[in-house]
Amino acid sequence: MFILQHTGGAPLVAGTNTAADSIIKLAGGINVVSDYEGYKPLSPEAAVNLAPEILLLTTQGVEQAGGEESLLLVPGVALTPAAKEQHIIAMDALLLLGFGPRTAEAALELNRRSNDL
Amino acid sequence: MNFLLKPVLVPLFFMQLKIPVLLLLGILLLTTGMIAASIGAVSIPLTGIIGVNLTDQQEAVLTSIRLPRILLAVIVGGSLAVSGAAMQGLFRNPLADPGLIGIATSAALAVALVLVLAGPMAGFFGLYGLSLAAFLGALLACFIIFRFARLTGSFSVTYMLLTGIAINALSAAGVGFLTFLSDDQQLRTLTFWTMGSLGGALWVSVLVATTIVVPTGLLLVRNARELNILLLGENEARYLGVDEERLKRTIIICTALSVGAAISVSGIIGFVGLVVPHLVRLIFGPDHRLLIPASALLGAILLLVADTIARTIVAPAEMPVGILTSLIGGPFFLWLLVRQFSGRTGL
Repeated sequence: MFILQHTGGAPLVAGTNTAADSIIKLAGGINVVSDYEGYKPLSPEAAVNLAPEILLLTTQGVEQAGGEESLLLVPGVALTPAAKEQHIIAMDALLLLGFGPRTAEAALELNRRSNDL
Repeated sequence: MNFLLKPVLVPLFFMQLKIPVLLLLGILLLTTGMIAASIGAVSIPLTGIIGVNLTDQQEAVLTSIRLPRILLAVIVGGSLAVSGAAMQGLFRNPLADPGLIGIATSAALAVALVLVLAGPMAGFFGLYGLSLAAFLGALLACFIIFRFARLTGSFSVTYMLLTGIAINALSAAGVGFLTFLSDDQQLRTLTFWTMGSLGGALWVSVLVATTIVVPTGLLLVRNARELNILLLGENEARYLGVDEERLKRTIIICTALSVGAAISVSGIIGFVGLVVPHLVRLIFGPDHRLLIPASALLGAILLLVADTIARTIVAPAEMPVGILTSLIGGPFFLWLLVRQFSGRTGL
């Protein structure tokens, strides 16, 4: 599950047809959110229901959220399996979502890091 | 005389009017709350709310997501509606609501400033920075309105209203400029913030909001009698012995604190403050002693219903609740206008 940003209100989570969705697929992962397109606020309860194993964020997103500790306090996020196991991957926004020459590198890194968890 | 009559009259009045209506609304709120607690992405049977036969997941969802959210909806809805009722009384203007005098917009400006210019903040401020900013923005607007009203020497409500509208415009300009400066993510956050959401409900925010909203609400109810007298007109109220400067100050400060707290935990939620008091007036009449507490309950019910719809209608995503309240509020308000004018002036 990719969280674009969570500051205030519900977290903005990537659905299908997003750069985040594509990079997750390229890295061999499954985006648990498949019911809507684009970035939308995800209901905290739905986040629990979808039970993501890994939370993917941009480093900028983590910074804006006030670090991983406060991210884990967010309603809904806190109850996911990913949060319980502390499986959070943060990558640079341009590398992860830019879809430029470095995309292959990004997909490989994402794949390696999610297997390492 | 007055002293003697009071103990007799007050219970009588309570028995005639207040208690049954408020009790009814209270029961309605409770029922809505129960139903809201059982609806959601994770379904919880109605009997499960009392705590029987819940799986761990259901229990976790209920206690750490849904309950704080429901309570927050109740508090925020009540706060907005009470503030709207008090402001309409104070300004003797049916259009007055916390948005009109710039409280909401300057809260938005403060949030935009923090979001766009302050950059990332760690830990505590990362989680609560925006809330703090919104609260301070709302209070600042109230303070500026006061300073300007004092410049005119008389605390005239017209000046306060006009100052508020100027602040509203200025803040909107500021928000616009910051929107221009912001990057993609900031813009997204800001836009969603101005449409309101209760999705970030934590027990902490419920507690903080309650400690501010409840006392200010009680203070407003205590001033209901004087608000009733103020309806006669400012001069008339003064002749009848109302300390109107104190009254205005109390009401502005209470509403600013209350609305500031509400906005800081939920973003800007429109129309609850405007429409709910009108609805109550239509049904139960304009007596502020009933209007204010009844508005609190009805506002709570309305926002709770709107939020429950918001978090279920497009599940797993969620709709910004401000859209729904405006969507329900807008047509109702139009209907109200048509009804009022066609009845009285034969339009």
